[in-house]
Amino acid sequence: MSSSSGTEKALSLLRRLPRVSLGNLRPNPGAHKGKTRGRGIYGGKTHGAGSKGSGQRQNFMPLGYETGNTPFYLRFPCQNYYKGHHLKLSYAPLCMGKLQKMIDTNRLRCDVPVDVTQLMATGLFIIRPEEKEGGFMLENEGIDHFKATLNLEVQWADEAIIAAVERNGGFITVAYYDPISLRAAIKPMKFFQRGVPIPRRMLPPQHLIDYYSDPKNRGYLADPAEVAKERFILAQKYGYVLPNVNASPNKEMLLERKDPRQVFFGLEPGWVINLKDKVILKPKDPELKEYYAS
Amino acid sequence: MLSLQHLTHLRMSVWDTCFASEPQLLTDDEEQVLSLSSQRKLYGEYGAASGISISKLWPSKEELRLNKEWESIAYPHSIHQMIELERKKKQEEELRLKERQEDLVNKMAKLEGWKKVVRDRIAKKEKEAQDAKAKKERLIEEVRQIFGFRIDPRDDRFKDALLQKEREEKKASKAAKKLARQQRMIERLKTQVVEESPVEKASASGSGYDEKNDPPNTLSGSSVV
Repeated sequence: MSSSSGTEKALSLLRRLPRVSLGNLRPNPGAHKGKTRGRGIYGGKTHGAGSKGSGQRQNFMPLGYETGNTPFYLRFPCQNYYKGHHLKLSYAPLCMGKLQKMIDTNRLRCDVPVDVTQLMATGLFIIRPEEKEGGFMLENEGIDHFKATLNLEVQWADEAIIAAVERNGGFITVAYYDPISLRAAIKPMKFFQRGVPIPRRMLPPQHLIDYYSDPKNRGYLADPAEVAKERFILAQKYGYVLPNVNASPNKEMLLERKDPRQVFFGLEPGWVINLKDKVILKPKDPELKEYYAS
Repeated sequence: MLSLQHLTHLRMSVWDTCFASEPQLLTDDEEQVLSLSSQRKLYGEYGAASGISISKLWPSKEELRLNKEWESIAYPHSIHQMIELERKKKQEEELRLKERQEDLVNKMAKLEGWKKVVRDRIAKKEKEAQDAKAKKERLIEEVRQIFGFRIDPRDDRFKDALLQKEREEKKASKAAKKLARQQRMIERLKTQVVEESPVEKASASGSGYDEKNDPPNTLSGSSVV
């Protein structure tokens, strides 16, 4: 068609596409010929190898060689301390004292369930999922004056901390977030701007499944009945009376729990959230629905 | 029920607000050229005003197939399977430890016996050494007695005499052994003769004949006509 000839099309594309720069230009295939060793009349004599020296004599130093002294890569023996360190997760420490302070200064709201998203919303922490960081772990510092009642979800908590939270009438769950889900959880606004559906949270790796399915640790994969039993046992161990959750005014909020595949409270995997139009889009295709519900 | 109330405290940067409220719609060519992720981002920023079809936001059939394949390899086991694997691992470890402990207990029971064996072996060696030494001393003394005067044991004459003495002793011991062996042979022969005599008689009269049980040979005793 003469009206939309090749040049016109190209020009319209050029007008609309991003600015042409060295960053998005490429020569045509075959335009760049690789450098080959010289053999003929002016590639002759030294054939691209220079004059004398180790270069011409093809006596190249081995990679990592440091002209005699023991090279860096040979200096240190195998350290079993670091064995498998690239497979292990690390967690951002969060002291009980800091948690209490955040609540007292209204930096963190405890009238909603407190999970990774809420803790990151305070703006006081940095978590890098790409650096093998798994989330938050609670520490003992300031545990004695912890008085808040809240529905807490972190990635690692020890026995004393569980006792401290439950003694005040709160609940604590320990949950695993895989790196993609964690990235979505810590920066939800940025995630929604990507226009992708909410991912399904993946299961923990084999070496962590024990921790997250143990009711003693209040794992999110543990049987709730077992967890209730362990709450009672812990109360006896630490010597406090377990407050009755049915009597508290925040009963619904305290008993709210996420599905193992859920990343955000109230939102399911597969939904697309648009912040501009303030809509939630849900998939209709049965295959997609099945996939996101699995 | 939409509960974005949880997210109201989340911060948005200045960058997030710097976007045109009316984006330009993409032409067909741009839609072909622009990657899916970029188009999804456009939708994420501008919403329906971007003009991007919302069907592009979810994975296509091909993408879904690839995702499922990836997950089947990256996360092959279900929760129950993983817990079962852990349990088996723990069980195996416990079994290994238990077997090792049992093995140790058994070996501890035998320990005193082994110690005794070692001590006996040492004692035997010591005893042999002492016996040899004592024998040597005795021979030297005897040779000294023969000579009658003080002579250095390292002297050649002494050595010759000692050698002779040892030879004599050996001969004597050999003779004694031979005698002992002969005695034993004689005794054995004697016992054999004693055993063979009734058997010889029996074999002379007939095979399989037992004096006790079978009736006496009527032929030999009486005369049958």
